[in-house]
Amino acid sequence: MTDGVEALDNLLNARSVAVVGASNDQGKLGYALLDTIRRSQYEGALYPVNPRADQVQGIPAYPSITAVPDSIEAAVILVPAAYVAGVIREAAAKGVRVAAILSAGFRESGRPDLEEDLMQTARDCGVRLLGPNIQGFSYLPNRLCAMFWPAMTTPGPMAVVAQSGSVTAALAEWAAEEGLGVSAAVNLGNQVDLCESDVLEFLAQDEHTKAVALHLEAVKDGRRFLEVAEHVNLLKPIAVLKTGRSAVGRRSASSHTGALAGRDEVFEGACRQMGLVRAGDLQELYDTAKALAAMRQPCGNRLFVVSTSGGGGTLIADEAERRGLVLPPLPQALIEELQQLDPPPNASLANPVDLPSFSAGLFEGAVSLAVRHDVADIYLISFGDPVPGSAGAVQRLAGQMQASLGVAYFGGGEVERASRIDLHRAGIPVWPTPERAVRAIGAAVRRAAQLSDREVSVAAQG
Amino acid sequence: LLPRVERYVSEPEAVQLLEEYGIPYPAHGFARDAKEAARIAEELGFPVVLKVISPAVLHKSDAGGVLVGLEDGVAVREGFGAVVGRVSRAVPGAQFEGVLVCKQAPDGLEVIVGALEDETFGPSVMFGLGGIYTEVLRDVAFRVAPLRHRDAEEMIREIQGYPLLSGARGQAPLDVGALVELLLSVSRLVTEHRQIQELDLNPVRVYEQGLLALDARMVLNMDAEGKRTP
Repeated sequence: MTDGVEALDNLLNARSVAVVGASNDQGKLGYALLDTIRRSQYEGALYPVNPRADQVQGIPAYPSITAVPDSIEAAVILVPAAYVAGVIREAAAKGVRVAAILSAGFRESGRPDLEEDLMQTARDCGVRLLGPNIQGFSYLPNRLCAMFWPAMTTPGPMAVVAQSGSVTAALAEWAAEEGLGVSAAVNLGNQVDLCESDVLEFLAQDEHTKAVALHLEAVKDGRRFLEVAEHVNLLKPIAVLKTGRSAVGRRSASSHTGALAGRDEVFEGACRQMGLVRAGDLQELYDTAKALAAMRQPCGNRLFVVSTSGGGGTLIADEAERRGLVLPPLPQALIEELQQLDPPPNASLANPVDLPSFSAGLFEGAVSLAVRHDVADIYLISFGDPVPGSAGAVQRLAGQMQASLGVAYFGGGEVERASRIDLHRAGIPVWPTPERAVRAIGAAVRRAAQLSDREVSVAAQG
Repeated sequence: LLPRVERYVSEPEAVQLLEEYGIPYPAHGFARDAKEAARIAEELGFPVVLKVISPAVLHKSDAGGVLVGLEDGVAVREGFGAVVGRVSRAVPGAQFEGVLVCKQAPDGLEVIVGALEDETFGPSVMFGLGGIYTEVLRDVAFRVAPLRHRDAEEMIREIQGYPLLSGARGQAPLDVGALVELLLSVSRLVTEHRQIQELDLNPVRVYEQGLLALDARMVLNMDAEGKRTP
């Protein structure tokens, strides 16, 4: 049997894909699937399989996988649940070693028998499976987006791995809209075979992935997940959102421990043990994964803030306190140098620095001076207005500093929208509110601190 | 699926297991009658605590099956009759095995250490401060066993009430090192005895030097043939 990483490599990097269940009928998911693959500009060979059409969406089609004249590396399957096992047998006969099953109608619909049959067939034939009951998967380095939607064409540093199809699509779409992009988006679904740990192991060795946004409802193999996630997290930081579904295990009413271990407490403890960043909701998962993917790992918790508005600076300072970040006072020498920049008379030159100005150059100058004085571990620029030239100024700053850099951009209209995309393309994280910026930065700081504490304690014990 | 049976483990059995894992429990003896209880108490030294041992009484204190602060042999003999009487009134027909006589532990900060078999992660260990801190505030930390040294340290530091252990408001710091060792021992215990579904050491009293587990409650998870259910 092909190992999980190799199977996922064969699937995500496939140079030839059969799409079984591809359709000409625009009302069907089989249409959306092939349409999305085409719009994602896949450059490999595509073989629609449909017994009732010579062509699907203009591409020559075949009545079955075995009728395809060329060799096929991976199959994407969207036929009614009862027929999936049969397609797997044909795919195996054709030499296919891995398939993504997008079809629903298995355990989740009260048909565990079909799921058992599928698993048994796949094992017997030596075919590894992703799914079933998934929206699909995308791997941007291969320009392969085998999902119902969205068609993604913006490559980026964040990988999305989610149990839910909607969550997979939402996270990937947010990243695409903002110009941040994703490396991969994998919907786990029922996980009859390949599971979260396999995907994490693949991403650990994937040079295009910098960090992982992980959404889980249930963990397939808790012990393996602990081991794999702890290891992967050191290479590719993981932010995780765990949501309901797993029923509270049967616990005795007579023990306090049982009464105190609710739905989530053991999972929370396991996350801390592995050093994973835990997000409380979908938005926090996205914001945090963005920090882990696009911001340099913070070396400490000192935050320098410069803002176009006193309001933005205060929001940041309040949230920073709650998140364990410190805004250090600025040295007198730096304050004097800031005065040389000729800030507006109503500027405030204490941290957070308040510069009521639309001059991108002034912000560039102020941060540049603060960096030279090494006043902080993280530099956060808060634009609360449209500041023309802001994207260019921040990119120049990023090029000349080693510390972490992030941007909060809000109330900036068209300039904001364009800058956000430019900055993300340049690998600089932008959050749409000051508080969301600070929460995400705070999570990255806590993760870095925990891991460095552990290195110190390992060094001390070793 | 076979029916699951929760098997009762008597406190003397549980304590024997604790001692195998080096978990400190007060000096004690098991007495079947009042005279034996008094003799054991004389040997241990006063004051002592009496605990009724009966499969029908899991919550000993609630059933009136615990007596503390007994200062001499007379008090122990009278106490023996009193706890047995109270338990048989609270749980009519309760099967009675005897009484555990324990040397009374000095006052100290009370914490709870527990373990359970989690359906996703397997054996897992819990730590929290005792009393309202756990019951009302749910200020507890879990980790999956086997714990590493740093896991035990981190779960102790993680709870909100940690300053009470580390020496808040000018108080002497308590023996956090002994607590780390206790968590590691409990982790070993449940890792090597997967038939334990749930374990409570509640309370555990922590001192400036050392600690004592004052009560052990254990629930096993067995099928009708005595095998552990998955």
